[in-house]
Amino acid sequence: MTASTAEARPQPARISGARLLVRCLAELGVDTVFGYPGGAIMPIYDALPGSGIRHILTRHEQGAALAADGYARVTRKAGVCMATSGPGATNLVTGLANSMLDSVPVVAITGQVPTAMMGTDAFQEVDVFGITLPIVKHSYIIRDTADIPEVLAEAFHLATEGRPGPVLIDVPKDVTVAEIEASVRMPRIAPTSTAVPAAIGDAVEAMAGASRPLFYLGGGIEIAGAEDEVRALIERTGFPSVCTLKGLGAVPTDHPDFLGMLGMHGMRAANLAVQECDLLIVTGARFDDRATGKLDEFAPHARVIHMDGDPAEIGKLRKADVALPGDLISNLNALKRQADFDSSARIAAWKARCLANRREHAWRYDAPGEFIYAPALLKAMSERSENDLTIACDVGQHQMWVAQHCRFRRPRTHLTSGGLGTMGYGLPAGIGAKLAHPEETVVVVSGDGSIMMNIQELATLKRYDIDVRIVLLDNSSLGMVRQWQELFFAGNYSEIDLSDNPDFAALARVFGLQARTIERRDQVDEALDWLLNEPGPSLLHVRIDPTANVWPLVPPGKNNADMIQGETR
Amino acid sequence: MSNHFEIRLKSSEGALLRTLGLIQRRGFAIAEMALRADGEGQLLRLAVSGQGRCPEILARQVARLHDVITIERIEHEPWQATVADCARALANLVPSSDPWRLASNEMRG
Repeated sequence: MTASTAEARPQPARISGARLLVRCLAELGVDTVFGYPGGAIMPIYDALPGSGIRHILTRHEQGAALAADGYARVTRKAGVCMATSGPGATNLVTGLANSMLDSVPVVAITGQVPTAMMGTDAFQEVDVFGITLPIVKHSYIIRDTADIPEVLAEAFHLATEGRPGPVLIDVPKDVTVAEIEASVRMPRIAPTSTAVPAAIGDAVEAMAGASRPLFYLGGGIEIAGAEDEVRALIERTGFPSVCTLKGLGAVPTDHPDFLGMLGMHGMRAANLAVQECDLLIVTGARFDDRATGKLDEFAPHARVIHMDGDPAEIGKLRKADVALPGDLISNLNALKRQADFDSSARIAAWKARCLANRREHAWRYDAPGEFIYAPALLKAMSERSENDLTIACDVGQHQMWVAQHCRFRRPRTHLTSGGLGTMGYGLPAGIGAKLAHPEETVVVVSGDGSIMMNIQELATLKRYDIDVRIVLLDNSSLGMVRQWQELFFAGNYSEIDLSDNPDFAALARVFGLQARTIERRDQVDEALDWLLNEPGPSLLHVRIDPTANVWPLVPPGKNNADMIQGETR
Repeated sequence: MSNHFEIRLKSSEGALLRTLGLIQRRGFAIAEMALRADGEGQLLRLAVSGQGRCPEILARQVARLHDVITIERIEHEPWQATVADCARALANLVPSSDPWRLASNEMRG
């Protein structure tokens, strides 16, 4: 049943807070919520059946929060998760922090003990409002049933407007049980201004005069949906570009002037370009430490134009010579309109050097050794179909290999926990992405450490027959920690051994998935065909070299030109 | 060095805690603080210091909180009353229809 058919029914004169809340969700366009029921939120769960809203029962509240995050990233709509009070609410915390650090619009609704019992250490009472204050964009405790429509309208507006983020709504049980007049309506909230700052002229002048200009593209582009505008400006100027982990897909990674991801595990050509450029056009990025390396030595010769939807990011870590806060699309359009200069002759030598570096330092896939070479497998997988995959990854070495070697030609097809670095993100995020866009091929790339953080969500895949394919790269260790212990802790390997992992293929089969294990290079092609062509949720378990490292690497405290390269295995 | 701010807060739940928490998490120590009701909301004045941290950036981070109506840099100490403070306090003390009470209050000093 849809929301419109629900509206066609005769409306009762009075309505419970729970039914009002669910009605408001439907009116806000919510079609899917992820959650887990429990005592304090039972009135809301009582109101869900027949509401037209699809509820996905995850097997842990963290899975619900991260699935809502994945849903939100691919749709740019607010993802919605629900949990009961106490442990249900605290289990959402990692997911909310994840969404906060990556600016993802999520609305979390938590049940709470009745108002009269709040502050009495009641059963399953926890101050989730207080606990989550630092990790939400805003939060509410609804103390009056009549406030439900206004709070929900404002919460969804805040979650998605400007710099998006998670919003928490804590609802005491008595507020959802109480009845009020059913005629109450939600207010309409006007969108915020898209004014263009006066400094556009300064930015154009800086761009026209630069000899070594470079675009530094971040996740703010896909958040703002500004990919068409940024691509148009890049074509108009002919300037080369680099991107952050979260900026992947802002321009196609196979674009002729794209130099790759910058930063700790970035492409050498990208990092060298940043260190040599004389103008850095920062677009929806925030000088994150993983991108900049030693900040004082980052882009040492560059003037900076900084465009960002969040004014608080401008000048936070690096002074902006030209600041363009505000709506990214408006700013990019204004720049393109005024950028009527032709600097192709002035930047010709610079572009030639950048592109020569890209050729010279291109990835190599001829690794010696007998183990399956994960970068080659990931590259082959991502290029196997004409329509790009949506790839949700976990955190660790495989996350960096995905960013380095997979092809991304569209934004919002690379789901990664960039800010918080949440192991366990990939599987629930992939579930959210697939449910939002069933027509896309969604692949979760995980590691043997990360997959166990939310392994219970395999049951969610099976329960709803969600067609997510999983590639599990198994190096029998916590690979990224092992790599750092090898390089920076004198090989003192501490608590990274996972050689007693379960048989992952057997485990997946127990959950009802199709599964295979491969361990030789000659098995890769056929296994990828199987993974991508066989319908239904599946898991490809890939054994790789336990000693493989991610290269290149900027050591901590070094500048990005000091990348080190070790042996590929 | 200490930086002084005047922040107008909405009357929303958690507004004060959220604002103070953000200031501390962004690396600023709160040295002095004064708070009073201001219409339906609250007026918060703070002296903060943050080594190597930029107060202008802090002001922007505070300003983007939904609970914050305005934030301004001020010169005086948070606990020092301004002329506007005195006028407001006086207006609260003295109903406009009772000038004799104003006179007697002034006489009492």
